[in-house]
Amino acid sequence: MNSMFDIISSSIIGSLLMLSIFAVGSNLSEVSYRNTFDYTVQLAVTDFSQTIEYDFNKIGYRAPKPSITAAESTGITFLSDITNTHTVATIRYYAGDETELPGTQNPHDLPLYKKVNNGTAVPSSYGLTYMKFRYYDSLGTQLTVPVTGGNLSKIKSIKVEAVVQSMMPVDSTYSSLYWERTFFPKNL
Amino acid sequence: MGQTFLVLSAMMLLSLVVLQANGLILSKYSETYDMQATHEAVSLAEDRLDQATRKSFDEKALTKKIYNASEFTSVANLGPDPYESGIPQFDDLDDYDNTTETFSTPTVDNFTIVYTVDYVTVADPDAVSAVPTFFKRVKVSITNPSMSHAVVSSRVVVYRRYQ
Repeated sequence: MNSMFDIISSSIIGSLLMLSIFAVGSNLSEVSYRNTFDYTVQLAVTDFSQTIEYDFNKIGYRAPKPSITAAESTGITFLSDITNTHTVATIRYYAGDETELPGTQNPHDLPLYKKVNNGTAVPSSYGLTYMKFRYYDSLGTQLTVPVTGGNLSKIKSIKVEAVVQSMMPVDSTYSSLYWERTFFPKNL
Repeated sequence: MGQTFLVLSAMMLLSLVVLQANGLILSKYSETYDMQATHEAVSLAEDRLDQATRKSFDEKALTKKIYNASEFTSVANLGPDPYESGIPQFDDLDDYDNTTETFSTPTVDNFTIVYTVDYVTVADPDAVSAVPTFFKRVKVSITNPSMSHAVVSSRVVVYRRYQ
């Protein structure tokens, strides 16, 4: 009877110990995954911001006015001699739809398209889940989107807001990072 | 009796190890939040500095060219003008002095942004000047409950009197 009691109690204690060891192991791997995803998201934000900053500061360079030809909350079309070859190009940036990236585990990520002249829109998958453009006049007053007609020439600054998330969740949470920047292109 | 004691000791040791490991994991979590908030704070600081430094150098320089630094707003009067109730109404750089803004991003709540504007000396842009000069430094300090340290970023703006 005594040995039976010993066996049962040692089994219970052993199971508890194993459970705590597994829990620690699971937590450790969760932290490790989260760190990896955080790092990936930071890299994606850096990549995204470099792309946007490179092009947006050149809006209107050697281009006729109004240099911005379409201004919506999810997209912008502008003119610029972006390649510095005395050739004005029409460049359009716009965010796609959540359904356009079915290959990722994040149901909310959307592609960012860049289209130059009449070429094919090239999608980039930074893990964007939110992207918004805001437009301001010379007094800093926000213009109602879509900005149309004569108001297009009033645009003096553009604010870009974005949230980038990891492609996969860790324990149902996605690593996220918010980024915003207001551009004051010299040629507007 | 001896074996029971050994088992109890082993369990205690193991519990301590498990506690220690969980403590480390928890601290890693808070580091993660700290890092996320810090990254966003850096982006906000750059954005706010971009916006502030686009404004006119000084209230007095809005309507006329200034050739003598003593004509600028005095050090004691740096800050918002009486008719300005918030950042959207600021028309020059020194309006930002001692202004506090709270901001939440879609991912992190409650950033506190504090602006400081000082005149700095010509010889050393880090040295605050007690009298107006042609150089102003705007400093943005951003804090958040998740951050262990404030993100502080600054920029020096020069008034070009010869243009």
